[in-house]
Amino acid sequence: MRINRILQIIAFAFCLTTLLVTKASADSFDVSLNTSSLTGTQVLVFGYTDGDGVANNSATIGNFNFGGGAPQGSPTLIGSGASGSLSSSVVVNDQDFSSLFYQSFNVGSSLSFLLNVTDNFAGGTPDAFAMSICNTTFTTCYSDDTSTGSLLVLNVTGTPLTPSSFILNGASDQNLPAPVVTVATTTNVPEPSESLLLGASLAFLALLFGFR
Amino acid sequence: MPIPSQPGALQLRLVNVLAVLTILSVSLLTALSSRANVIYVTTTDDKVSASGGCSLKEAISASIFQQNIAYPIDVEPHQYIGLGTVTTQCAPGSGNDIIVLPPNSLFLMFWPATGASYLGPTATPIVTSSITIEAFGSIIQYDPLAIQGNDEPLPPCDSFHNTDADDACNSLFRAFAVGPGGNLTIHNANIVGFNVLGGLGGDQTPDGGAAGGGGGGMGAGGAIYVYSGTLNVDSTTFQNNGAVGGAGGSGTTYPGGAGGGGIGGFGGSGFLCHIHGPGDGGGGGGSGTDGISFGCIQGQSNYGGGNLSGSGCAGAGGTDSNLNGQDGQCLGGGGGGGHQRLLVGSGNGGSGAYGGGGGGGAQGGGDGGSGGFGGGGGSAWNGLIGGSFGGNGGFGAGGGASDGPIYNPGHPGVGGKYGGNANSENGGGGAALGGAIFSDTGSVTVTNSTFFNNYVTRGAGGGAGSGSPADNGADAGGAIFNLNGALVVNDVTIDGNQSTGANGGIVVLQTDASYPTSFILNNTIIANNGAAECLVQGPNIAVNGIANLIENNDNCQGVETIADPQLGPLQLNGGYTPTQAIAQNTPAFNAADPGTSLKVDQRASPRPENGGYDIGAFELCVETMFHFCTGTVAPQTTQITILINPAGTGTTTPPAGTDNAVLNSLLYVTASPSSGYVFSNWTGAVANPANATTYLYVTGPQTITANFAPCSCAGDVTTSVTVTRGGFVLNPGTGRFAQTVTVTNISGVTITGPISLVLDGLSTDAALFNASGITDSLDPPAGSPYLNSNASLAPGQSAMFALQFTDPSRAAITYTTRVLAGPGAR
Repeated sequence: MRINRILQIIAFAFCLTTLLVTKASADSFDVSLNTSSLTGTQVLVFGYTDGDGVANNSATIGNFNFGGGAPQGSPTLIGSGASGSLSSSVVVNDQDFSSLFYQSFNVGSSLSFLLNVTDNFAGGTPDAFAMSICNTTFTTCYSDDTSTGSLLVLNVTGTPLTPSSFILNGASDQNLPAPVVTVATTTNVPEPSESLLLGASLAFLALLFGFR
Repeated sequence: MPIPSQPGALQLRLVNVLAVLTILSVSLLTALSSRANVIYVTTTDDKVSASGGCSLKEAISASIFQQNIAYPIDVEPHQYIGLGTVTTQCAPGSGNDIIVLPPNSLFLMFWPATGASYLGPTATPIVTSSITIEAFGSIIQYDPLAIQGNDEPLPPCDSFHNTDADDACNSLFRAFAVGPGGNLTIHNANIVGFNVLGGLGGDQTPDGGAAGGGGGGMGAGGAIYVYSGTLNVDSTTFQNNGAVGGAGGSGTTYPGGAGGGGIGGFGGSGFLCHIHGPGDGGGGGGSGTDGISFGCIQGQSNYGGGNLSGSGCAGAGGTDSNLNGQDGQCLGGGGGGGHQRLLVGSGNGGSGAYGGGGGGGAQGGGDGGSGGFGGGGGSAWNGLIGGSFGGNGGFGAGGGASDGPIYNPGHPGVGGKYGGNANSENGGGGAALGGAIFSDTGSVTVTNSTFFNNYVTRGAGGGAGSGSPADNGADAGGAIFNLNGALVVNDVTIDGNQSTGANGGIVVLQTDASYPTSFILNNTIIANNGAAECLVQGPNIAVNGIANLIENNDNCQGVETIADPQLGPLQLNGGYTPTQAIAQNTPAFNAADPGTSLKVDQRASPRPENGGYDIGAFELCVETMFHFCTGTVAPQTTQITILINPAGTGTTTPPAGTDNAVLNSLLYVTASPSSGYVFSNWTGAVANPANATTYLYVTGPQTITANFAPCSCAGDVTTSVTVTRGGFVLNPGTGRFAQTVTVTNISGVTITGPISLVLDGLSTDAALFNASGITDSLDPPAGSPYLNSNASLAPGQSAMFALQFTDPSRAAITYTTRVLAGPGAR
């Protein structure tokens, strides 16, 4: 009986340690943009660039709302780190030096999505996530920052992410305001190994309680 | 086989003293090296020219001439064309010099040095000064592929590919030669793939006939030839070097006897001379050039061919007034061919000087000339009633043929020691001696070195394949052949060297009791070199030895074991040069003599380890609970002083001041200018005075100075700022990667603009699209793109740089940063 108790304590401690120690950092933000100044078909672009040389980050974009508009055609994926579709969700990561996703959409009054990003940094040059809207020939990407051509840039520096971590640009020539970024929810995304450990611990606990 | 003399107790003691003195002299030489000039080799190119840095050829010439001049390279092997000298970029030598090679470099040698060495074709001039080569692991390698930039090797030079400029051939040659009075020391070199060919005896057609072939010359010293000089080799590896004896010439139907081959040059053909003077004999080959070069080819009709070795050493051919060919006139000269004057008589061939072959006798009874040392004898041409003595070969060379005339029998020439005898039609083959090192009346000391897969291949007798070939030459000393001189071998590994039969390792030969000859062999492995792999032969040789592992001995002293040493492969096991390791359970482990073993092995690892000294060039260290392998020996140090001129205008690494440095090592130094100054040069004995980063060979207390000068250039403020990089963002519209970099002033003073962010070492696939410029050489490194920000930076203030990169391959963009500030050049 006493041994069983000790085992239970060990199992609880193991679960707790697993949760505390192996937590991966991931943050969610709601991003919205008033697109009423745009018309017709445009191209939505998500890019991810590796800076620190370690493949350890990704950005997942979902819950798309086009404010009356809709995705068009099929996506184009450049680099092994881009996948998905505007109809469902998009993932870009740092497996390659540069990964790019883009797909046409019919502009509505607004554009919003949920952005979930990891925040790991091995030092040196940070990884970077960026969003752009361009015309269909890519001769113009709408941004007051002509250097990046982006409306939103996030440098992944390993410091805690907040809405102010984002570099936001409008596009004066198109009367396009800068995107608005707000905190959605903070989600701890378990690592695969963590899930396994946690599962094993819970199973062990269940076994112990079952014996009792 | 003559039995070497057995020295008495007194003689043995004297030999021991001699051994100690010899090794001490090497150490002393090193200690005294601080008095020597240092000549830095700054290019691995095999060249002689007025630009492009200092090459190995040029450095040795600088020591020999005691000024920075050298003979330009003759592009045609086996010819001497006399181009004068070139002023090179080497430091002038003093006659007692240290030549420092760039560490761990590859020297591909594809030209024999000009001057047609009287010791045969050699990559570098004959050493007649005192030279120490500090190779620091550099490989010095024979490279036939590189000759004249060809992708494929040229055919080897032979009697059909020789002196014709349109018929380029690949001359075989060795790395180094040491002449009388010369003293060459080599440290930490890896000498690979050199080979020499004794001169071929003259011939023309293989169908036999009235005139015979000349004797083949001696091929000797595949890597190094020592003639009455001194050679010290330490911590050096010889691999795949070889000597091949010259083949004897075959009989010919054309009139005129053929010349004998020299050490390197080929004997002239009676046929070729027949073109110019029917009945004349061919000239004897010289050491470096062929017997047919002069006389015949140059159209001096009715002259037999002689040979030129550097400057007029060839014996002239016979003339109408003096039918006999002239003897070789100085070292390396071949004898001239005899001249025939109809109804008057037939001249004899002249004798070769050292290294030269004898000239051929003229039609109608001329005798062949005798070969000099290493030179084959000329052949005779049968007359109706007289003559017909073939020339004898010199040491290591074949005799010349001689057929019997109608009223007198023929007298084919006799080969010299190791040379083949001639017969009536064909010349004897030449010898092959010393695949790596051949020494004639020299003094050779080899310590902590490895000889692997070197070889000797005897020259075939003329007429090989026919019904009556002449005798082949012999071969001996696959690694080392020492003739009539002193040889010390200590802590050396000699493995896998080859000969046709026996004697594939070391051979020590004394041909006459009057030549002082000695051989000391200590703590050395001689294994896998075939039968009788260590041979001592001669009437009065002072021999001594202890603690040697010799599998198949023939008269060498001090054999402790004959068991298989179980050597590992030749590879880098630490240190500068390849070695062959031993294992703990092998007979060489802890079996050497403590009294004569050296204090380090070939890798400079300490001896002894694990309680004893090992036999061979490799000292095994096995770590145990009670024994740790440090791998180093406490070095000797000396003081080096680094100055900055003017004071405060820059910094150095190591810092300015006086500090200890390891003796006989390379000390790398770097000069960095302060803001507003530029690096000018180094003064003092550094390798590249114009380079901010260079090295110094530490020979003793020395002072070097980093000189800086004011410049109208931007200052380097990298240490006064922080540089924070943003991520790369691919602009979908431009296709360029954008990056923001923030530079913040962390010093307490304002940094005057413009501020330049310099990207050094930018990855090759990327370019800075919006660069303001490229750095120049005022503040190296040059050639780096930079982007300007015009504002000055107050303390704590930042400037942002928006970089745009083109990167078509989308490969990772990498660089390091440098920040320059202020007006002026970047």
